[in-house]
Amino acid sequence: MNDQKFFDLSAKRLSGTITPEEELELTNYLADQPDQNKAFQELERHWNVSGQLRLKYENDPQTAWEKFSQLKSDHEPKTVRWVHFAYRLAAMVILTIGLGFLFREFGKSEPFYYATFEGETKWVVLADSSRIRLNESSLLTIDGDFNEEQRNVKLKGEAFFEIARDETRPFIIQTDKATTRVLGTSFNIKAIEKEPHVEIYVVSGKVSFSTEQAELILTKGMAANFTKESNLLALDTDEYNALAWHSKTLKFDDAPLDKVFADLQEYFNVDIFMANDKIKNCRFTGEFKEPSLNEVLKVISISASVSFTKENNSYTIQGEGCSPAN
Amino acid sequence: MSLNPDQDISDENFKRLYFEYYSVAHRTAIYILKNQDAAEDVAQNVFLKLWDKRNQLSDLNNPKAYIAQMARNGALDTLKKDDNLGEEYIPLEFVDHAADNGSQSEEMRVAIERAVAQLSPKCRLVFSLSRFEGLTNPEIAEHLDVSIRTVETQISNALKLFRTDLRHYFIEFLGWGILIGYYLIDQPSNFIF
Repeated sequence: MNDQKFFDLSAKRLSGTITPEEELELTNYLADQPDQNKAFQELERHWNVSGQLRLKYENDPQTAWEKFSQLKSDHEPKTVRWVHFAYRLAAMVILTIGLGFLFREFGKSEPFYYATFEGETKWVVLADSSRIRLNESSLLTIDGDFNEEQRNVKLKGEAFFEIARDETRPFIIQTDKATTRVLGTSFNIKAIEKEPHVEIYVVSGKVSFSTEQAELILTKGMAANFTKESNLLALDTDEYNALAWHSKTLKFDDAPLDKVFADLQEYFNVDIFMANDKIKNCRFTGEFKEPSLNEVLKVISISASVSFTKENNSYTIQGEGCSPAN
Repeated sequence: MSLNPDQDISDENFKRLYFEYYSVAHRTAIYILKNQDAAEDVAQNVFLKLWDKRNQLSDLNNPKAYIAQMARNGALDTLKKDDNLGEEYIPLEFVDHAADNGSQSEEMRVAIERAVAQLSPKCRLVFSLSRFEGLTNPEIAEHLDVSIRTVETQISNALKLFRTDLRHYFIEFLGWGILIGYYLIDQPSNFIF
């Protein structure tokens, strides 16, 4: 038996894992080798004394725990740092979103303007294929984000609108204090700054005409006006000539002459005075396509028994007039 | 007071775990490192690691062995970084002080302290668990997650070193004893003269 085997078997015997065969082998070996027998006895003695010893261990778990609690909180910075990281991440995300919005804001295209001079009218076709005809001295502002979520335009002056139908993006016309909102229709808006009214006349479809306080829903053939001073919305009845500038048609249906002359002044851009206040009580019915002022005035003179004189751009109507109707 | 009762229970459980097993971690590290302070660092570190995953601790089926193995690995890592923690030994004492019958046993105790200090770290851990913690070989194998064969080999290695070392120690001890004895006996005569 070599030295290694002697120690292996001794270790097994002392720690109690030796098999009966190994036990026999060791016993026989030790009986044969008195030196090794002595060595084994020495080992056994040390082994046994060792077994009576224990680690001299003085430890107060409470103290260790307190130390640990301290270490634990020093250890927390990991978490704190992580929180910092989370904050930084959040800040970055917010910044990115913010910059995104900022760029979007900057990236918004500038509003687009269409304007007409005095005596000029102009057809405008928008990105949504809506068609707008601007009357003279008008300004149409197309918002930079037109056609994105809404179709926003602003109008100063007068224009006729043929709005392409798009139910997801309402077409909104902002005029002085009054807002017109439609999905798809055609109508006329007159919103001349100097004039006391904003007027609308609907040719087809359905139009919402509103102020902050009130809303009118207008359908085909209806007209309404908004009085800027009083903030009042009102329906106009028998309003046929709102679109005359566009349709080149004047139509009067039992209209009092003051209304007739007002429309004529508007259409021909002239001044018409009534010499006699009773003249406005007279009524006139008639329709003119591509009319001339002279022609119209002649027809009216015959129908209402009045006469007219012209001086520059100014016409004076004379006659006995009529007594108030009804 | 706590907003999260589950978390609170986990903290309480953790404290219980700490009080129950801190000494296991500490002692395991002491057997390897022969250095109380270095061993304490290892032990505290074991529990810091456990603290980080305290929510999974209920899954441990043998926390004692798990903690002992963590401490063993932590201590061996410490040795890798610094294998010279000072010429220290493991302080030992008699379990039963009545068994401490005189200077003979005291000599033996000191001799064993010194011999154990000479063992390799892994060997010392196995031997200590066997002798000073009273574990059987199969228990040590399970505790440290090693084979019984490994345990037996380490004990055999310990015995081998023990014989040479203790023998050497006793010769040395005897030598010093003679010298000191001679000195003590001789000294009074110097005083007289």
